[in-house]
Amino acid sequence: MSRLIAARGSGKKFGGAEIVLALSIAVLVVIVAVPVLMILYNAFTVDGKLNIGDVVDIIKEPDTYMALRNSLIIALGVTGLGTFLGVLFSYLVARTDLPFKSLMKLLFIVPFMLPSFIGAIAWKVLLSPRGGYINKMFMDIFNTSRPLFNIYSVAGIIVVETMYLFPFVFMQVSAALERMDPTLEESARISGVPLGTIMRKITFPLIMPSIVAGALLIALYSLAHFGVPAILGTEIGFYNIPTLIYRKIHSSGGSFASIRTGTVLATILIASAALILYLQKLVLKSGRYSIIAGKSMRPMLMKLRRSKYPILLLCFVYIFITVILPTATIMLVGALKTYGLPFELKNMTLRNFKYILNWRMTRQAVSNSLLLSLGAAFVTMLAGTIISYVIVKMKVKGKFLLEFLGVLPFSVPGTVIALGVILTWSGRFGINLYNTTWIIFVAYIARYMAFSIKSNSAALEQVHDSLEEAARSCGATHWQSMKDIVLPLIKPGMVAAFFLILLPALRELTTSVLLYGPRTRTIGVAIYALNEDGETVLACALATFALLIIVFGEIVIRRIISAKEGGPSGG
Amino acid sequence: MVDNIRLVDVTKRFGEVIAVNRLNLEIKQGECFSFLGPSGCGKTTTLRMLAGFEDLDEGEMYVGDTLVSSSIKKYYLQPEKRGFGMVFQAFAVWPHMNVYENVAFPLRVKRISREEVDRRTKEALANTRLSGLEKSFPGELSGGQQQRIALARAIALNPRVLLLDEPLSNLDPHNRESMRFEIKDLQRQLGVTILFVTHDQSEAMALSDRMLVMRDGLVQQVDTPVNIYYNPANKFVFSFIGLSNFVPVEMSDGKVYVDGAKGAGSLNKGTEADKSVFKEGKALVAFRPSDVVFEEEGPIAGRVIRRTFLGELVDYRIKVGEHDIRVQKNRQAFQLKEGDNCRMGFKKLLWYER
Repeated sequence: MSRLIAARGSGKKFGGAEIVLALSIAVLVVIVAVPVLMILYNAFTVDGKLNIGDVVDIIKEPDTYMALRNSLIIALGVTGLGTFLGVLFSYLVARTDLPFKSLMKLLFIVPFMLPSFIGAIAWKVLLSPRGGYINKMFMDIFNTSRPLFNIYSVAGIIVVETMYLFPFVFMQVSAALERMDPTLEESARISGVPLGTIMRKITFPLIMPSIVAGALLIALYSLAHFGVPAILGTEIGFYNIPTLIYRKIHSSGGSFASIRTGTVLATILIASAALILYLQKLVLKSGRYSIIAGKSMRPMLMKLRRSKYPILLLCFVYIFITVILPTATIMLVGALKTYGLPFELKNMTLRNFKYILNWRMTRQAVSNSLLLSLGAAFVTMLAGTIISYVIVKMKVKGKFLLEFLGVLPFSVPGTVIALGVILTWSGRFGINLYNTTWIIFVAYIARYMAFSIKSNSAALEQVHDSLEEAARSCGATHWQSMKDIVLPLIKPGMVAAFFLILLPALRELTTSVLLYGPRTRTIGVAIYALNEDGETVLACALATFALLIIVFGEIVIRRIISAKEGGPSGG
Repeated sequence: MVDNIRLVDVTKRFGEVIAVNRLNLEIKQGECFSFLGPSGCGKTTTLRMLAGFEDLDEGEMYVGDTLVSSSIKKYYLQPEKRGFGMVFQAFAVWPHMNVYENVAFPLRVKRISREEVDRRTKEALANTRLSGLEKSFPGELSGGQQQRIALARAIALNPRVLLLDEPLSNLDPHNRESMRFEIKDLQRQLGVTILFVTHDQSEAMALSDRMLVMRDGLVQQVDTPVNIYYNPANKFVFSFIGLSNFVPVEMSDGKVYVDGAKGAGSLNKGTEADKSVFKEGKALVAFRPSDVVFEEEGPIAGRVIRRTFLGELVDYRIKVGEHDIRVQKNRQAFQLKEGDNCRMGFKKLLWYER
């Protein structure tokens, strides 16, 4: 036993453990830390000297100030609306006698899998003030020149973003409601407390930490969200922080002034993200009541009685509007002969899809995305496994640094990573990857490292130390016990990490849009650019392919994760 | 008014499984009554139906003259209107309220003056030895203290009936024993009817005036603990309550022998076998390990194969033919050693069909 500890601990000065630790830290520093530091350095210095006055000047500029304000307005709107919808639907699904609940639970999470910028394109098609199909129909029927709803507006952006971000609250709160011990509510009922009072005084206070945690996640994502404001806001000169960074850098061809404005805005994003994550940690810590049920019992369900079917209808209408309608719109528009024609069979064609499949630009975008996401997923999965192993299993000093660096990308929005990567890999340190696929590759690794570490750490924590110790005590070397005991047990976690990276990387837009060059478009960039150029039909045709790939991938990952839950846990 | 609880033909199904099968029962006011049985026997379901958390598939339930549940009339009095108190296995104290608020909250909801709420809360806390902990939060307290909060909350309501669902099984053994006596004392002091569910027979015996033994949704026996222990209604009750030996026996020439061990002696020397349970000359004999007497003239011979010192008791395993018999004597009876031959007599034998 004592020999085991000696071999694992820091007995030997240059043991394998220290080398692995040093290498993992080096990888994280180069890939994650340097880009973030470069942003902070460039934001606060001019010609190598600290310069705060300049930062204030940049924030005072009308368009930067407006972008800050717009980001805040959207984030507040989306967080408020998304939290309301998330709590409402999770309560309906978890605590009422609504029919088809398990199906609905699944459908409510679907928007999470769909890229929001594709949804925004669909809503542009349906509700743009003049050409939008629904608006046109409305104006024809009521013989008016006023549209039903103008999607090119703050309200439009908030509503569309909410559709894609509300699952954060929905998932957190449903999980809390399901895990909550039903006897906490039953004991109030048997004591004579009316149902409404139980909801206000018992249920809601107990799930409040989950509500707030979910709401903060919505705020975090909405504040730094690129896709929806880029598609719906740019038309009316409405910019938030990420879209302004994109515009500045794109229109000036990467000039120093624009990059500097970008770094200042990026710094604000980093700071607000750090604040949000800190708040979330506080909330989760203060709210750690043990409300988990002792034995599995069915929670008491609220009888909806006469309002049951109206509420069911409302849920299906919501799902229809947020999932089915946009998806169908994208596929139908992708099959139109010309944009703007009515959806009639005589106007439909498969030509666009054939064109997309043969066009060099789109073929290149698809192959770039596939190679980039497969490569990034593979590399990030492996690196994440090693880093997680150090964090979870090794007893070495200094691993807290790894933990910090590993979760850092969670608080760094995609736009910021792109900017940091530009600053780091444009020849400043002797390596120039600008306009190559490699710069996107490096950015993806930085962006998704946290996913990999999270998934792998969870899997590794399931493997109890004693399993490895048992192997060692039977005479296996450290390497053998890792290869034959640990790796087979965490394989499902690694596979899950691979797909958790592959799927978002396939539909990535925010980071790639700042990094792409003439030959290095990704699927997301190609769809976005086609839409910008007014090639709505082709954009939708390509988006159809993207949706098919994503749905297929989600089905695969669901299979794998459910197999993982049924597999060995070793705990 | 006498608030007897009456269950008439109560039946509950979960899909194909009959959780409770035509249960008829009357529990007297002021009685401490327990439901005992292995897990899944339907005891918790019965309690939850009484509380109003589960509907009935068949039958009716009354408290005094008041109908509380009826499958025929499709009538269910809401749990909050039944005037019961309930204590749950997992305590179910509200983690976001302190001890005082936990007890006072259900009172505040009713139309009771503030002084009355305060008085009743303090009284309930004093009765459950929680005075001084008013400002503490449940998370800071031990399991035993948390369960006392739940108990205080229930009795502060002056309920007609107190329902306890495995209230002691989440406590450590020491706490469990002291809480057992506390509940009994409280019940005597308040005179409240207590219905309580447990799978722990010693808990049921210690607390109840009468108890019901249940298995697979069917009532096995309803009686006082003493009667159930000494006169079990059937083989299941005998084996479920207390320690038991079951030995297969055969009858030949009017005498009963342990299966395959005619040489060990005849059992019915001095005791009469119940001949009705013998099928083709075969039956089971049952007895408690503590009802075995080591005596030189005992009818049955055996050999000690294991002796375990348990402190208060000595536990023997005796081989008779191919069969093992467990015997427990108090610690003074320590003379027999492993490998010794012995003869045994029996204070009480019960006869069952094979």
